Amino acid sequence: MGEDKAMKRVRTPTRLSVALLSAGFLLFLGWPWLTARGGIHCQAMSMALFHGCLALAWNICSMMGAVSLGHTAFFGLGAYGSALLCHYGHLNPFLTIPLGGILGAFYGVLWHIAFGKLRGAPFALASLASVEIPKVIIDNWESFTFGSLGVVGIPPLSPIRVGSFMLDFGENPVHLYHLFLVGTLFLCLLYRQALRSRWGWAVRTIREDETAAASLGVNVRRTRLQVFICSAFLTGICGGVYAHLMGLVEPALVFSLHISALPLVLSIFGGRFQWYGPLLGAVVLYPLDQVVFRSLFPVGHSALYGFVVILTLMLFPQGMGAWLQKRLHLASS
Amino acid sequence: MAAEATPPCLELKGISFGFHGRPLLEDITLTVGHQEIVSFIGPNGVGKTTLFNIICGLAAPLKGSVIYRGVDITGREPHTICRMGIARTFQIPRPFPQMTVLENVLVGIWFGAEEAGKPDGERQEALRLLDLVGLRHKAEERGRELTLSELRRLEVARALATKPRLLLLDEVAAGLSPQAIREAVELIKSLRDGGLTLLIIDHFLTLTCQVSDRLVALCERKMTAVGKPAEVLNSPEVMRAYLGRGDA
Amino acid sequence: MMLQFLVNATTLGAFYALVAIGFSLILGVTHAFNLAHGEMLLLSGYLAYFLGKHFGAPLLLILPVSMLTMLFAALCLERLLRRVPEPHELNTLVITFGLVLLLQNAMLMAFSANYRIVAPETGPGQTPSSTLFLSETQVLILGLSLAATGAVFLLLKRSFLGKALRATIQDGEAARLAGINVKHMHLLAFGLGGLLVGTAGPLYARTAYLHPFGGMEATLIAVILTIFAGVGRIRGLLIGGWILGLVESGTVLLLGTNWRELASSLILIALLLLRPEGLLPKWAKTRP
Repeated sequence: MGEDKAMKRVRTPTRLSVALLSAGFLLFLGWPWLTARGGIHCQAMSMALFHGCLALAWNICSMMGAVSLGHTAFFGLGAYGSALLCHYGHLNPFLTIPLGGILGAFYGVLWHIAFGKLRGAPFALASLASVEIPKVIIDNWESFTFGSLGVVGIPPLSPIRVGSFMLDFGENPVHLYHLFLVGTLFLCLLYRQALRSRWGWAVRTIREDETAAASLGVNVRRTRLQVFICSAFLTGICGGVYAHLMGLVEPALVFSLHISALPLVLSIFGGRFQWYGPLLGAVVLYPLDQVVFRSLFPVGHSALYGFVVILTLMLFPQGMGAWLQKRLHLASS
Repeated sequence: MAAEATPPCLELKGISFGFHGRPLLEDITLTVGHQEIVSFIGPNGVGKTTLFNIICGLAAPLKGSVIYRGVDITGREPHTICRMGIARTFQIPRPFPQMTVLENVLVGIWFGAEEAGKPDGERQEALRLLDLVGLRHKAEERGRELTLSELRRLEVARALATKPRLLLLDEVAAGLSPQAIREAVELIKSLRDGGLTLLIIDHFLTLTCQVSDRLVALCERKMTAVGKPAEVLNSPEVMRAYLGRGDA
Repeated sequence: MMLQFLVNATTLGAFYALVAIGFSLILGVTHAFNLAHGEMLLLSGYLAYFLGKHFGAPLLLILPVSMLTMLFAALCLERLLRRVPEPHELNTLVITFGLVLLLQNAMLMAFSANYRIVAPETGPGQTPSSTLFLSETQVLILGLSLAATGAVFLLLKRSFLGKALRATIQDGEAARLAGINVKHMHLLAFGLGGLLVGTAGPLYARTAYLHPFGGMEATLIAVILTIFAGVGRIRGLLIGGWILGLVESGTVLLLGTNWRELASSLILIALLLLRPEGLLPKWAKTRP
């Protein structure tokens, strides 16, 4: 199979792929100056990178074969955790966001305990149903969470002073963009290294044949737990960041089907089995939706995502990433 | 100290198993010594594979215990049992379909054995194992592209990669040519000479009789005969089970 | 009061069963997880709403139109899902999830986020017992749901076609070997599913507010009942529907409307954990 050999080949980077990667990196670095600085294109790309991180976090589960429809539970818990800590504790957002992530990770542990035996479609259904638990509790615990009114007045990400230079993420969209770019790159490299490590191989064996993996010495239960914790923690962090970006959280906003769906769509479109797939999906699809479709259909533009998921699974189930890799291999050999 | 002579490789003590209230195995008791080769024969569905699953921790017995080298391993998780030195092959091969044959074997080396070697040494070791089962030329192919008999050999290589001391072979010879069976016999004998203890399930009496020290016949939930291959095959219970239901 | 509660719960339960039968048949026969089931219900609800509002069509006319439309939609869906790559259950789940996103947003585009309901033509009718309200809609729902459920039950149990369908549910491969045209059975299951959704939609538009994002709840109810009863078991679905109706009404009565969704989600999770074999009989068998 062509794609198989391509996979081997790219491990030892070809000149073409190095050139493409550096060109891509420079493009992303200079994006704010290429477009109107801080304009809609810059903001759309910021959010695309943000959703790329969300998709990467989701894809950790998918790498293990667990297709989740309920990641918005982690997202919402992260958002609420960070927002409420800021509201009651007046802490720095950069401190509360990881704490929100830990709250998400805690729910991930609960998933592991409760859904330990579920795989495939039953797991997906259970994850979908599990969203309602934190959502309804937060919705009804009005004295603490303000119920369906939500938490408002959440402070934006606090500025950081580097020497004499002030990085103000709340006010300056270009600074925010670069924060997201750095965060995404860091996460992406971490993800790539993790997948190539033994741990990554263990995750892969569980996806391909769990019984065989167990009888070859892979600790399936522990690896599943680690995967859920990582994925939930990162999704929770994304939720926390989102709360500070928006300045408000409410149950319907952060526990929405849309947030569960987006990372799934982006990962499937970009390629679930490549480390860069989710990010690729995000930077292609999200701006397409926000910039092009949103102006055409102000309401209901997200129909694009549904359409894309159906088309991708029917036509090239491996996703864009695998397809591109094949092209790249053909071009470089 | 001297009184505690090395415990036998594997002891099964009164194993019983069943699904949905229907008993499948009852009171299986067996002791297997070191470097012994024991084969299980019996009609389809009698529970031979289930017995393997119980030993490997993929199924929990209703009653009884599995003792491996003096340690009770009943109900431990499969990966723990694998790391203690029990490896198995599957009757219906379970390769990792998207990985190459080499990577399939490497997984066994990485996760199965207790100590980790050098990255280079691992690759050499994996290739050596593929040589042993005659799959080296397929090292770069994907698991899903192999034929059934190649998959069976991959199963053996992968199991050996975990550096086992007890190896369970579930129908490795089914569907092999006579020449391949002769090779399998040689391989099994050389493995035993290398220090392995083997449990084998096979319908090929040519294979089992040639290599086995003992034969265990399972019939209707129970062990009906245990002993030297010739004795077991000539025992009336086995004759009845295999050749017809002529009532005694 | 208690009697009123029971009547409401019974009506709700019968309706739930009507929604679930289509889902269950499709899942059982074709192993396709149709997460867009609730969206189909909504679509036919909207259809009924607009037919009733703009053309003043009576229910007797709306029902056949809605049933035929949904039949057509379901057959289109069958053509789409037929080609889904392996693993079939999970991939159909993901694809129909995509369909959910597509339909939700399309409905948002077409019908806006306003809540709509078909207003009852007459005021709530009063039965002789003065404490018991039994609205015309409730009678309609109870009657139609039970009639449709009964018809499907008879079809499955009494006809040759039903036998073939049940055989396919139990083991598709064996049914094929026995000379049953499994492809036709797939079409039949989707067709029946479509007809049932088409029956349920106009009723839904009369009892609940239509909102583009309201379909998932109906799907989850169908999933819950299917796991509870096992695929293709009509009587089980009806009993499950009544139990679920009672539990939900009870939760609303005791804790308030806000907790209703939590109750159904917890029931779903509990059923998934306790009755994994409820989804597909074959899975339980092949599981190691």
